[in-house]
Amino acid sequence: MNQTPNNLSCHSLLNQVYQTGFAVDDAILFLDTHPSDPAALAYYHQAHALYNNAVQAYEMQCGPLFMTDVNDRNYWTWINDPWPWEGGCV
Amino acid sequence: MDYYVPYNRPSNPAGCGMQQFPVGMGYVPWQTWGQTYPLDRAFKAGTIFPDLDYAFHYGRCRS
Repeated sequence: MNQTPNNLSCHSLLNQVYQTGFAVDDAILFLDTHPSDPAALAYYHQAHALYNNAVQAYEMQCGPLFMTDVNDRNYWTWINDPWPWEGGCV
Repeated sequence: MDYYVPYNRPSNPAGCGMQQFPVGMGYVPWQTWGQTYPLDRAFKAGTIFPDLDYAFHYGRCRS
């Protein structure tokens, strides 16, 4: 997989998505058993906002992260990335 | 026998106040929210909670 400068920042942008998404998941697990915990709720909303920003930042530069995030009206940009068998797994 | 779940019980130190629980049942102290790891460390550790970040000592039982 060629590591063009742009591609490299896609990797780090994706890492941000992973890290923030993980924090959201862990906060959710805690909230399932502590539904009224104020600190946990505050953390969840903060992490969730960070996650949304991370996804947005990734998609602006690197294309849709989810099939349901294709915005282009003229072309199905979902297929722009290399497929897994073309080394597309990040 | 009723299924006793210590719901909404403040987590007390291990062993303390455990007498009133029937024997033969497993108990997990109630987790309370505390410090959290920075995001990158949490992702590596596999938890945002330092309280749950235990070292993994694998090995055979020593008789």
